[in-house]
Amino acid sequence: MKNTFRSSIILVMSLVLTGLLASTALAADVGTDAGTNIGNTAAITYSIGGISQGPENSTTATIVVDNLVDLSMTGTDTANVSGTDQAVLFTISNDGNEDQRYQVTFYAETTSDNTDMTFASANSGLYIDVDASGDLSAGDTTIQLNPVSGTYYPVILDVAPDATLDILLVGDTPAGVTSGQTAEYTLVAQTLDAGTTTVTQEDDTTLDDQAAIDVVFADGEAQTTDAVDGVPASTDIDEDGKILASATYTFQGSGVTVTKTYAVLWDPINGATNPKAIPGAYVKYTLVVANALGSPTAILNQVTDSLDGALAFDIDLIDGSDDNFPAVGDPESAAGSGFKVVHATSRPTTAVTQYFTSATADGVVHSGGLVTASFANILAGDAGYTDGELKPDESVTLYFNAIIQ
Amino acid sequence: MNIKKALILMTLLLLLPLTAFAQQETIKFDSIAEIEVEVINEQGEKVLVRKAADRVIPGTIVIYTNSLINQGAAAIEGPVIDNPVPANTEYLRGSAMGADATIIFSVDGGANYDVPAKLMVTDASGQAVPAEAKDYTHIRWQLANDLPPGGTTKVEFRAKVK
Repeated sequence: MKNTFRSSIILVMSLVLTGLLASTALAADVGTDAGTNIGNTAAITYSIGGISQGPENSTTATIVVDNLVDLSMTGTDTANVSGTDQAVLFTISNDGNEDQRYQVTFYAETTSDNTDMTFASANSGLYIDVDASGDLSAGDTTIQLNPVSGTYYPVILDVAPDATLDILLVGDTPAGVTSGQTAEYTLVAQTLDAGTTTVTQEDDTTLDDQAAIDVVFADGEAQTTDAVDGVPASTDIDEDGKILASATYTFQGSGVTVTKTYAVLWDPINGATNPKAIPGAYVKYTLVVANALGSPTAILNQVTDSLDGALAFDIDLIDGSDDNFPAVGDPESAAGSGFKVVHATSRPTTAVTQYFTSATADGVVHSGGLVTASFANILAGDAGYTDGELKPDESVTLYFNAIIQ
Repeated sequence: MNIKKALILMTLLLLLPLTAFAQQETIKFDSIAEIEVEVINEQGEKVLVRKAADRVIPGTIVIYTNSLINQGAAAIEGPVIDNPVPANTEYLRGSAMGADATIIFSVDGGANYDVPAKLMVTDASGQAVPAEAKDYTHIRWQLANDLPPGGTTKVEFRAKVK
């Protein structure tokens, strides 16, 4: 009899990125473009012997706006489940007044975290996050696969004044990582001349030319007052055309659980009163798929439950009452609706919280002793939801009956 | 000397005074742009000195100086100097200076001038509000005194590069 209740549950799912996406807001306007000529001309009117003269213009004083090289960077902390192609996002802002390119490198922090990602798999590398998704996507531009810490790689893209550049550092979860462990990284960006891979050099302050466009560094630094863990000293000093920022990747365990319970509803001897698991008895199975509060959002695909051969599926989902005793009770809903589905999500329109069905289109079906629930149907997409999406603190519950043979 | 040569000579004699007059301007009127930099003087003190505005980036304060020299034989009476605030710069409040000059400003492209307290502009909601220095489009110096022959004077203002 023990084996009568045995079944095997298989849940197929994926989990979606929960990290914060890059801010694409433009920085504050940084000013007049490099190379702009600014001329000043005054005019004078006067009289001589009571006769009006002028206006007469002065000579024109012309200045040329120099190339202000300034940049800033932010790192976005990310929490995600373990796996391949995990991304940490950095956003470089061109705070200068001329198009610039950048070259980037990364450093793993050594003491302030407790694990590191690995960068050996096929997609590990540095990328331009073209679609600003915050994760590695088709169409993102490869900067360097399998990058080496401390080696600079040019980003072949000019960045206009006030514009930003999103850089992804993509690696894999190391073996044996546990939920809550962190990997911290620092990205260093160095300014290049637009359209080239030449490191931008500041012009000598003693050789200024009023008619020429001088390069003037104005970037701050991050290492004088606070040494950056894992980054060699003086990597970023004041006004050197470089900037750095750090971000933390937190490996997060899945919060999805599948719980199956059962209760004997009715047996042919006792009816609904203290029923026993004897041949002819109806047993109600309750299968709960839940995503814990604070966990990543999950995309559920399918759950299957293989019924033991000693169990027959109840196609009517009998309610187990004594209404018709000694015959069995009534269907909970209607004859032929063998499943009850209840979900607790915040889908605004398409989701119903409870329904009875046996239709494949509704996402639940029994065939050949196998119960299959397809979450693309059960948890259909809706505003703020994709097909099968189960957010933290949401659940879906599947009920069905089996008859002991 | 035939008649033809005589006519040419007379024409040259007539043109000579005009040419000489054109080469000697009544005034010399120059504008220069400078910046201030901090240096250490011989006493080891930090002092500000002006130098040519050869290193200018957004945010730099540029000092514009207009110099006037009367090179003529007669006094320049009632000189008035107008200076549009250069494009891509913003006038620095309180920076306009000039000896014995009344300084007024325009916020409408030089059509009207007044003292700062009376200048108004329209904000985004259509309300008239007091003008700020960034709203100034022109500066005017009305010099109180005539400039005698050989006399010089200067006016100046500062503007921040946007």
